[in-house]
Amino acid sequence: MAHRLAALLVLSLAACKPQATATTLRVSMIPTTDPSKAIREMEPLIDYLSNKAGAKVEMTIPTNYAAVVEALVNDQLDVAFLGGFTYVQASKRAGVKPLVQRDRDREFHSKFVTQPGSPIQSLADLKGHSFAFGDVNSTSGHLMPEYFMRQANVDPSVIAKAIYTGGHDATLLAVANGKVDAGALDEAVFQRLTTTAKVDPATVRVFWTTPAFLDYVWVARKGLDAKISGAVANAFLALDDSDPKQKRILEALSAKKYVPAEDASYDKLRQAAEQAGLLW
Amino acid sequence: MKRAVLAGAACAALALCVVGAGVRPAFDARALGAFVRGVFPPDLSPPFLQVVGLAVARTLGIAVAGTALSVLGGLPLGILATPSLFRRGPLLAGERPGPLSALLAGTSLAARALLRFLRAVPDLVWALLFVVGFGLGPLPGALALGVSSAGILGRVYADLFEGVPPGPVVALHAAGASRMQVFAAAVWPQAAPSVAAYTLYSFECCVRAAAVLGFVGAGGIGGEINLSMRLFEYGQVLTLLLAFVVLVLLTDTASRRLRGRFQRNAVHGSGLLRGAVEGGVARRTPAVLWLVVAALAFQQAGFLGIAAPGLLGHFGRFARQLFPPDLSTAFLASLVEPLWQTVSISVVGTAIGIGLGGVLALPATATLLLDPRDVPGPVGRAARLLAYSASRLVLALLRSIPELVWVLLCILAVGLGPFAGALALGLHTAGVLGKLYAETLEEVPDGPVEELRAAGATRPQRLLWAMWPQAREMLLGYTLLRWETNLRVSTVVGLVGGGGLGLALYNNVQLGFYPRAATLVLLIYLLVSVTDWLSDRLRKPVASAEAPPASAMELISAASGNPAAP
Repeated sequence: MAHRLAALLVLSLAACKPQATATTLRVSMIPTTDPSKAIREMEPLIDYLSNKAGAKVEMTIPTNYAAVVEALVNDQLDVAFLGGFTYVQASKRAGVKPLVQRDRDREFHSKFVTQPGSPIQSLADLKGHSFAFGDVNSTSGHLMPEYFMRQANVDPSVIAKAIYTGGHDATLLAVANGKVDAGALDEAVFQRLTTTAKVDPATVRVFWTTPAFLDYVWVARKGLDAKISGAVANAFLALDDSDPKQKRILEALSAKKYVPAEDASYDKLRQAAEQAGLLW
Repeated sequence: MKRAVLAGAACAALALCVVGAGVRPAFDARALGAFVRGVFPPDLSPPFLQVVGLAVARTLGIAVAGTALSVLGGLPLGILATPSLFRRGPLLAGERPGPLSALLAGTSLAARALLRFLRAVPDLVWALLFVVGFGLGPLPGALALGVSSAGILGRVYADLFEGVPPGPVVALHAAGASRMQVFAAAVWPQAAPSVAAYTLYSFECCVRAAAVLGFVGAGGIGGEINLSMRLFEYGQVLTLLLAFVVLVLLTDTASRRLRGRFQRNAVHGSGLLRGAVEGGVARRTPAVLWLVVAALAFQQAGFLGIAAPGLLGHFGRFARQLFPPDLSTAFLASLVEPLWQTVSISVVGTAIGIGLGGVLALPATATLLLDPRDVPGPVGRAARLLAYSASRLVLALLRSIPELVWVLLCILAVGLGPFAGALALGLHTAGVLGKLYAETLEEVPDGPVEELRAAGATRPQRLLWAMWPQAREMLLGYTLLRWETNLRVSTVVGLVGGGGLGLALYNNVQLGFYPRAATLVLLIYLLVSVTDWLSDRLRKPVASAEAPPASAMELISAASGNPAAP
């Protein structure tokens, strides 16, 4: 909770000093990826990054993907954690540079869920049922599930009539409560919500898991001093779970280790976004 | 025959709306039960209370800064938009029409149109655009409030300037004073107390509005409620809601006391400044303290960020991307369904509000329930008093929770989509209309009621034959005004999951399809304008009997969703 407080304080400070000085690094994380961890256990990461990058880290937790992309376009942010699709948008519009990602982000999956007693056993069974995506801008909650549904020739009206819940958590809740027949969400959020019993695991059933795709990535804005972005990248790459302090950070980020990220690996995702008419 | 056709058409339209709003009996007692159980006990741990405290401070800061901005924008626009200063009336009678006066008249009309646009686009839409355009944090919230309430205030100011007693104005004009001299010496002094009162009232509305702007990322209580809902921390939601209600009650009380003084001064014709200086609160509180409060508010609202180099440039770059709006047929065709949903949400929400509000209004009417001549014995009296207080309390509760917070709660009960939006609108509307209905019934002239009583009529008979016919037109007027407000709100319930145009707007902004977002903003503007016009036409026979300031009051209360106008 103190971290939420810290985020607020930092936000108001950020408002006073909007321009990065040599010693300030403006960082943002999108909370829709995994809200509770991002917000509650951020302090160690802030301290760690400040230390390694030799700069004061100002962390903002925006609730609006578009605002983050615009902030990167406008040099209002230096480093940001983006979903795969947001990255593709931001690289096109703001020329951001990929830095690092979790090893799991290179092989990410979405879970398709329904109620335990529902007749839905495969993508083909979705015909005639209601379906929920998460935020329209989410890679694992919308873009890739829709892409794989199209690949599998799921009845287009399922996609056309799908609702957007605005978040992975809301999707799972809507399915668990029987508000929609099925939905797709981020595997990491699914895991967290069911293991912490925020959503009763007995109320949902996974009926399909997507093939692997690329998702989340840390990026630097175009024009950020290569020394600073290099230091940030190295800080993440150096995280080691044998150190108890760093282990806490890795756990907060649902990560085991970080690997370098490259733009070329996002070509398939880019193509999927263009096909779905989501990129301009 | 004509009536039957009309009634049939109305029923068909309502049926269409019921379908459009996705009304269904689905009600999830289990999910709601989990929420209610989760809500208790409210989270009162010190670290969270600190979060709440900061959120309250920030909300208040956004409201103060937003109100200040709205006065800065609304006052010049309001003066420009005053017809008697620039377009018609005795002030212009002696003037020869020339290019300058034509230019002024044109500017005045443009100011009116601008004000109409600013207030027709809901504050949450402004906030969404500003969050994307200006960046993260509370500054966009304050700007959004400033812009949308400048639209309301400017119009109210113009109405007030227009409505001042003409005697001094005409006298000064006859003595050869210029228009601005007339304004400074005759119009402003007469209108100032009311201007101050409406501005304070607008501040109350801004506090309510500031609390929900966080839903689109503008900080404050709304942002925290949203976050806590997403974290499934329902105990925190209750704490935040309680803090919000306390904040609203406190600002309402403080502002009502101040307003009362301005209005007393208005009777004696003393000016705004004298009123404030003579006032008890102002005298007891050093000016320095007010300055500190204002400075803190602007700091909380992230206002220092506006000095950031290039901020306006960023916004300009964003704004340019909105043009030209996407008017392709394919996109326009895709808007038919959300449009229908939005209209349906407003109609069904209002219908729910009429039904529930009407039912609650009867026990909340003191003249029906608490007349000592009716009551059979002390037990009956106690029972009636209980029913009266309970219904008043329920109405206050329904009304004090903003529509958009109701949407979040309704999503838990009936799932995402337009029905949650309609239900949320209905619950809030019931609170507003129930109170207005009860107060209208209480205030009908009691002559006819007493005559019927003397003739031995029972209470239901007196209600049906004496109170209802006298109150009918007022009730209809209030209901139509409320529908107007609800339409405005129904365009934004989608921003938090309630379906309709708001959802389409949110999705297009999130995807960076700004020209489409621009089309949606225009569509919302058109829809709200058409509804206002329609509702005006329908209300004409009712409103014509009322004095001009009443229309200003209606305007501001309709736009803010708070019926307790000064």
